Amino acid sequence: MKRFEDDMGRLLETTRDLGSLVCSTIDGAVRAFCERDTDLAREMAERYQRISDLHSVLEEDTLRILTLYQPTAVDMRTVATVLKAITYLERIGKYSKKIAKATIFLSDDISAEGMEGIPEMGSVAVRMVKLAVGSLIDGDTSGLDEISQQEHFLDTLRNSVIRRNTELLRDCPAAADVLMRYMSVSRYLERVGDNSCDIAEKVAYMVTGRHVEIGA
Amino acid sequence: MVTTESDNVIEISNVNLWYGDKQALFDVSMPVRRNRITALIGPSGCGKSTLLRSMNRMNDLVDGCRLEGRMLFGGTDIYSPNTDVNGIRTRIGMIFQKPNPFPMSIRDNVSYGPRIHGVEDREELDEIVERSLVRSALWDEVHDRLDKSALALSGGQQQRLCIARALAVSPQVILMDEPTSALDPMATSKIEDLACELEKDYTVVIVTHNMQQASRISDYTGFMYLGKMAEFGRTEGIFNKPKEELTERYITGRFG
Repeated sequence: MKRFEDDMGRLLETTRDLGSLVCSTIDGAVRAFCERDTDLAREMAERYQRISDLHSVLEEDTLRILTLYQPTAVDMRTVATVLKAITYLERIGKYSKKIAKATIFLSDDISAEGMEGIPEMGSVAVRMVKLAVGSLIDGDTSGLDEISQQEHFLDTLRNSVIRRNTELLRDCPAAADVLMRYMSVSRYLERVGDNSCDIAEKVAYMVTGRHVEIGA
Repeated sequence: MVTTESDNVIEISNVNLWYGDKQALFDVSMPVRRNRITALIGPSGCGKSTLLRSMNRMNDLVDGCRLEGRMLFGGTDIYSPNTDVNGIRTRIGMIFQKPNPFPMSIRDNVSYGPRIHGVEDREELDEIVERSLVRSALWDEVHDRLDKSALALSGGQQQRLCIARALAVSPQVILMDEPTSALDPMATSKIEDLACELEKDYTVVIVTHNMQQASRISDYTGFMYLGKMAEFGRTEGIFNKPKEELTERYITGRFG
């Protein structure tokens, strides 16, 4: 039992590390995008490798725990939640990298037209990731309602970004490269929100044993 | 004996049981669902074997054993003074922890029950022997040595022979008291597969210390503690999200 508890303790600690790393990376990537900070964007893009490595370590750890100890009840739900949540965290890491790459691409473009709504989407998405990671680490479902509300808000913002950029694209097809990048970034942020909801759903399962849909 | 089409083949309600002055079961209630496997788990001395044995009145053989409450089998009170105990034990068979074949041939072990119940026709007996051994997944291994001693079989084969012997008298329920605790993993796996196969035609109640076994093969699980039914429910629920903290602690190994 002691060995199992030590292994579970380490698993949760490493999950916490991955959660913090992903939170600060998406936060940095969004900040770099809004402030056109290409140095910060490069730093965030490079961080993805660490996220990916940590994800692989955690995946192996969860599978090892399942094989060695065949956990049940809350232990099983925790291990299963970690196994799913790390995939979502890794994806958020990947979207952070894509946003950082888009920032580097857009560095020559000084026009802010088409940006409207994206910084707000960024802060909502970052807030959602922080809530989801916090709930995962603390095993606390109190933030899940807010995640659900933010998800709807994020969708509304995304729709207006797409509408606005489609109009701009119609008026100025020459700016297609830039405008398409903005639309992509809004898509990445929307996916970051979706993955946060996925994490939240797993946390609800871990805590209550019931499957719920969040932000559907 | 009258049987109903109810989902519960056995209904246990508010059963208390004493061995002399010592109470072993406290107000135990649970259903045994028809054509399902029900597992009883719990720490040593929690009363799970006592409960199992009381289902076919095996405890009658223990001096000073007394039971109160109601235990219905197909609507009939198992403990009514008018109940035919042998009839109950024919319909509710039992498999013990250690295989206990009779010191006779494989064939005679299986045909023993039917012969006692008056089947004399050789062909009919042969048919029962074959059918029972096929059902207990032993036929392929022993069909060419039916007249050899049962004691020459391996532990796992002996246990399947005991199951064949129980099946030979066409029971409705098979009670298994830690049937694999003396067997190696291969033999255990065969008994588990067999229990799952038997579930189609019979009802199985199994006492086990092996929680993985309970979760692998049973549909319903009862967790007993200090003579009480601490929690009863679908196995999936018990092993995923038990309602009682005590059950959670037991199945996750954080007990005592």
